[in-house]
Amino acid sequence: MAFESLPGFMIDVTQNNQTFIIGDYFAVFNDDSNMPHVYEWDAVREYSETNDSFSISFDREQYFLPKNAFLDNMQLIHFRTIAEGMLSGNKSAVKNVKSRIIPPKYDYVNADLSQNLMTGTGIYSEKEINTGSVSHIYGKIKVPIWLIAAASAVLMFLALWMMGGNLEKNYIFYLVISFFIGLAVGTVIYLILCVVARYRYSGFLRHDVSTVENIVFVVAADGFGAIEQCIYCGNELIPWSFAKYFYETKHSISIVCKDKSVCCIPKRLFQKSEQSNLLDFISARVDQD
Amino acid sequence: MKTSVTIESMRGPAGEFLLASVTNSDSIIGICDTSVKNGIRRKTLYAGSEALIDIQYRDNNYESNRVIWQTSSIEKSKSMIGTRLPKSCDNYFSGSAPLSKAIMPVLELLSNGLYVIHVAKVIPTDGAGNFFWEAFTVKHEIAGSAPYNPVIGHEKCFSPPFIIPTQSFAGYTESAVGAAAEKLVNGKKLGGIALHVCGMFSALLEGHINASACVANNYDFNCIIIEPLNQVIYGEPNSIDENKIVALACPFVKISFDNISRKMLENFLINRSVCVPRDYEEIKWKADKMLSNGVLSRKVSIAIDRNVEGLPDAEMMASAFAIDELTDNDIDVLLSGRTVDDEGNVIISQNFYESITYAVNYLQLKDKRRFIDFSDAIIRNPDLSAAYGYITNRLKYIMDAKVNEIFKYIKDSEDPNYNSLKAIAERYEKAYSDYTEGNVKRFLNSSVQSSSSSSGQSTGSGSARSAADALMEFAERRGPSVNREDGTLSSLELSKQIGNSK
Repeated sequence: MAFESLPGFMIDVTQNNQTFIIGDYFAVFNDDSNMPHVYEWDAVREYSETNDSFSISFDREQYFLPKNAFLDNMQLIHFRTIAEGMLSGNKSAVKNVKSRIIPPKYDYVNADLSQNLMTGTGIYSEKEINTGSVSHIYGKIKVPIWLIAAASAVLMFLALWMMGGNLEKNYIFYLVISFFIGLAVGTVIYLILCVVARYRYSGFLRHDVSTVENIVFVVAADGFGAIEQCIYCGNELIPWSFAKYFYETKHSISIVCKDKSVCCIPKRLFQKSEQSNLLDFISARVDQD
Repeated sequence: MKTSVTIESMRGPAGEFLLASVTNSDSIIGICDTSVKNGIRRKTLYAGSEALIDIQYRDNNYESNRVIWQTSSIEKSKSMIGTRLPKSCDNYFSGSAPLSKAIMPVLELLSNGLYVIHVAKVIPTDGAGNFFWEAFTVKHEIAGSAPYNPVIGHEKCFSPPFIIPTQSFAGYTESAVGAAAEKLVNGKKLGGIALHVCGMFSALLEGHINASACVANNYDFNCIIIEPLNQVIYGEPNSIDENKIVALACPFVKISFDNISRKMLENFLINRSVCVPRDYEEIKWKADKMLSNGVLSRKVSIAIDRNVEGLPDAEMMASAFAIDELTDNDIDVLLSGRTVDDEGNVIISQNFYESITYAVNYLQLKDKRRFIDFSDAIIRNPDLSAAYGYITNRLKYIMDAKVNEIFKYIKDSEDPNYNSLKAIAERYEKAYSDYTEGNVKRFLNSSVQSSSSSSGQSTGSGSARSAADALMEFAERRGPSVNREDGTLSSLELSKQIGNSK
């Protein structure tokens, strides 16, 4: 279990006349009843976060916590940190969180952060998210993009040949046009990717409260992490064994986890002396894409 | 914000108790997590910025005993605690304040949460026959410290019987113990305050000298025991409450949610089991240390040494908690090789040898005569040879003519099942012979002294009878003190101890 030292708290959901207590257990008081329904987090069957609510399902009941019931962003972050921290030990629960800029808290484990620790704190900038996002998607589909571009060039060459004829006389002309058409197709796809990345960022901005919070980025011998400063305890990390690969951009280093979540670490937030070590430190522990 | 404590008086199957809710506390005394290795948990009882006791165990292992050791002394936190602990203890045991009032200043020191408070007799040992104050300076596994004890099971409630010191052994002085003993003799009640930490163990926060005086003088040592109410109980399987938590528990009591006010429940649910005290980093650093054992050259008095060996151990207490009653009929059923009586009731457990072991421990604590008779019957039953080793290990500390006969039977028997026990039997016979020789000497001495000092009003036979009674009393107390390493006790040692007992 992670984030066990965060204090529990109570939240009233007036829409449903329910009071939730989030702590070591998940408890619900219905209406004005004095008898709570108290569950262990291990009994959770499904946990999901949508754009406007959290949903927690048990064998017989399902509970919804609308996001507008939380007093502020900090309380919302506090809730999902306790819930996801407690769910880290529940491997059978279905966990469904989308539109997150940083890895979910159930990826974290308790760790000793006393040695070989590099930290940086700050708010994400759009540039870091965009370049990271483009680089991530591009990394995944760069081969198909350039295959499509090459296929487009070949098709264009064939089309020009069919329409213009006289290959022996015009083949240099056809080749040049085909090449540029292929290049244009590749470039257009890349630009679409940039638009998609921009769209993704605006999605994050709308739905993930972490985008406007100070985040503590940690790179240590035992693991790494990106945790909102308001709930950072200095005891939790994502172990390196959970990282799949990383990729580097001009502004950031992004570590892709096995559950497909991405931890984007902005270089500017680390001290100058640490920035040069950061890449070596990470590449010694994870494969580069 | 000022610490707030609310107290309700309640009654459970084991007696009356107080249920207290502590909120807005500064957590001066509490238990925090100081784990440093993955997979191995370490909990630390702290007071102020001092780490007092470390409890180490494998993660998620509820059935294995804990490694427990002292790291510092509560005396070092006196500036933060003040005189609250001794004052509370005195106020309650002198009768000047009821429990709810006397314990309030101590509760204000504890971390947020629910607590059950009751008064019970505790045994000042480590659960293995060692005096508690000396037993926790070395890191080792403590019998009976597992949160779940399979002998007791989930159903039964019990008052944690053993204590762990929080004060350095440097605080032990013969003069202080003597002064406390004098108070005892003058009829004053002495006791302590303990906070439950794990399994059958509580940390003694106050009353180390009182505990020593009680053991030295064969008095019961009573303690105000504070148990954090932090275990949960689930609803019945296949019921509507399956997978839901429906009650809270601590070793002493189980309380269903119906009997706890909403405010108290909210307090329990909001507070997390991992508490982070103000001086957490310092406590964590100090928890890595061991209590200096520079004072170990000092020893407790012979009276304490002698008396603790006669106190029940963790296995005996667990069996006593598990078994409500063991009738002669139950014993006959067990001796016939069955675990279920004619009416279909399971005597102790479905497992036969488990039943025999628990029955032996229970009888040893509750009824010595029946214990010896039961052990005799087992030893002479060839079908129960698997239990011989356990029984002889239990018997070898009891100086009794019938036990001597049992060991004589083992020694003289040609049955190969007894071969491994013959060495123990021989050692016992020698110890018993030394013991009786010493008793006779003392009997004769006291007869002679009584006759010579008699003013003529008391008869010789009366003095002889009182000497014999003294002998019997001595024998009862001395019984288990045969040296555990070699199983023998020299006549010289015996005569020394007889001298002391006078």
